[in-house]
Amino acid sequence: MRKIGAAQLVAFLLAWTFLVPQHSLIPNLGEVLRALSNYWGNGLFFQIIATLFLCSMATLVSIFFSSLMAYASTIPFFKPPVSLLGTLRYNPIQGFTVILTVMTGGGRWLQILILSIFMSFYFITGLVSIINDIPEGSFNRVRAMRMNGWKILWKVVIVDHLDFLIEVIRLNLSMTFMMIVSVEAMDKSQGGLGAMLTDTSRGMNFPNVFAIQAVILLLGLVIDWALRLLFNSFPAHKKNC
Amino acid sequence: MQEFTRTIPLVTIQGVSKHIGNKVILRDIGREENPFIIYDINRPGKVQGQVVAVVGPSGAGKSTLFEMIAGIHLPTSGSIIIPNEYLNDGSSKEVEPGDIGFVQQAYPLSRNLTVKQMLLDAARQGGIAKKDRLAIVEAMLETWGLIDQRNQSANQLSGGQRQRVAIVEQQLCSHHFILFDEPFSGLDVKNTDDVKNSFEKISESSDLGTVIFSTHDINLAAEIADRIYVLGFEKEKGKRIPGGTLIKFFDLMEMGLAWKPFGAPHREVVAEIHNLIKTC
Repeated sequence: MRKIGAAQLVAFLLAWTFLVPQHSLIPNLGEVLRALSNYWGNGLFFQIIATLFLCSMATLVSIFFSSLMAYASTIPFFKPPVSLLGTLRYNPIQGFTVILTVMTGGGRWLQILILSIFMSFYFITGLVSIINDIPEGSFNRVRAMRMNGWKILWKVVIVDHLDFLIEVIRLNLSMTFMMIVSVEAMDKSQGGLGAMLTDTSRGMNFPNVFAIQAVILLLGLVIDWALRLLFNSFPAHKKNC
Repeated sequence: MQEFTRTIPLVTIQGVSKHIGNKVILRDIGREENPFIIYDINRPGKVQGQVVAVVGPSGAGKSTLFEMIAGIHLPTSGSIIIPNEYLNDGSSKEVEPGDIGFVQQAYPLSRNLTVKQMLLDAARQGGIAKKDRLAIVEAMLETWGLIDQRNQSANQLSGGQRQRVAIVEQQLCSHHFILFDEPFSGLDVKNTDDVKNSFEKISESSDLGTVIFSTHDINLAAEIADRIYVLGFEKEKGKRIPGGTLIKFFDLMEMGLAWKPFGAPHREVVAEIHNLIKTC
């Protein structure tokens, strides 16, 4: 199946190169690659780093917050508020950007805060689901091994399900990337691929737009691949040869 | 010469009941007229512990009883008493989590640790000194035929290997007293023999080596146990009283059937137990 997919991809790229006329609404592959080369010579690498930095910081903050909430949900008192936080993923965050801008003074911290809040709503749902699915037998086993509550939290909930945490991050990555573009556009002085895309779209320079979209897509696919590799490296996914 | 003598009580269950909400799961286990006491047994010239079977129909509360004996869940009323090994002065205490090993039916293991890491963890939990842990774990891996699996994770192990890892884990923590919840469920002949060999290893590891197991296979219980406790439901005016309880106890040692090849007398005991379970 991989060979079929590869052949189809090559056919598509060839069609895009040779069958799409130049200077039409949809740029051909040659125009996109030229735009990409131009961007690369003008600091595209640093824009990629800016976006990756924002993505990483927001992921770390939201995972920390979401994990706390998810672990707290095992205590009956915290179950209802944590469930409520999970439902907020249906609420677009753009409505609160003015309040958050005033709170943070704008800049990189505003972007990290908005992205972290948005990502947390998704992560909480995924992490609570992971915790709820842990069979009681796993807890009974470690209780019979004299482990106290904190050790049980560390060994059973965190260490034993770290791979699932990686998977939650990976599965929500596409939503994160969608938000990054909007968030970076809020303060273009911080740079990033989202800021570049917003400016370029306004200029109706479609080869440039396609070039940036391609970079964002490629970045997402590389991170997805890396996370999948990390997920499969855990002992729980090792197979017998 | 008497074949055996009873010494100290290893587990005493006194009037234990368990309710979950309005539902009665277990009712008055270990009453005066039907005591539930597991004694340490000494056989002259032999290093041997004890093997105890708990049988009964589904829903009688065997798993719940085991979870309480393991100290994982508290009884609603009553108590489960064991010798206080920390003080070692003949006193006793109520069972706490970790006092008694518990091998569950599904053999849950750590998902993201190797066998060796799991057992080192268990050795740490069992209070084994850091300098001795590796040597003891390696010795246990060798004894239980797991040396080739030490760097494997749980999902790379066969069912029998998972069971052995679960047993060794609990042995390292609780040393000589282990509960097994339905260890023979769904096993073929070879695996059943492997489990029986495991029981032998544990009970012969020391005079205090004790195995308590639950099973639906009454023949197996009669074949390998020293004592059989039958859980079931009592009836009053033809109606079943809610909550499983101890309905009868068979001391195969007193009956001269323990440690003997399975024969006609064992079959009689099996038939009696079958009748008890059918009518309760």
